[in-house]
Amino acid sequence: MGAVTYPDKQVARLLDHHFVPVQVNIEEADDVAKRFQALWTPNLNMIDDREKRFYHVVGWLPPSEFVAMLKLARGHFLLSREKFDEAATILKDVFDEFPRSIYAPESLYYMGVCRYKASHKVEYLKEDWIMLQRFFPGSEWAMKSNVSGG
Amino acid sequence: MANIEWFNDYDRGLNRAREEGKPLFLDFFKEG
Repeated sequence: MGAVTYPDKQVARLLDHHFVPVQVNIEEADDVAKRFQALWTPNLNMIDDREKRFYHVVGWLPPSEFVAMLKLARGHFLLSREKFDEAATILKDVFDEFPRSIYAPESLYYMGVCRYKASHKVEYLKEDWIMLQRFFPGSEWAMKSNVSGG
Repeated sequence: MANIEWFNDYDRGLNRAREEGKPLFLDFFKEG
């Protein structure tokens, strides 16, 4: 991560702007590693002010996937704070900017959730989930959004 | 190349996150 991903300008800008970045050696920070059940590195944890982990990734990501993941994680954070419109906007960014990202299907799923939560209009949820099933039919998120499947 | 200003202490980072109203990004790494 330190050789390729963290030196990337967009990665650094997003991390500094929306998060407080903390890096600890897994072998030295034993108590913290145990608290978050960290067994393997890279191990990326997004944690709120009550120390609740709201997103978690294990393994290396290239810069573009990292940026998509960070935006998705920010979407989850805003959703947990009930800032539905703001969350939907950043989740839409993931799909618009990184349509081939491994994080695009999950972003579309939660975009529908946020738009529904903001409006209570089920049409918005259906619209986003139909798009999800059209663009990412083989993804786990398309399966999870297939409410007519039983 | 961009430089990220990392905290290397979890509790200090958490305190800063609370002060700034931002979430924490915690990266566990291993040397080598």
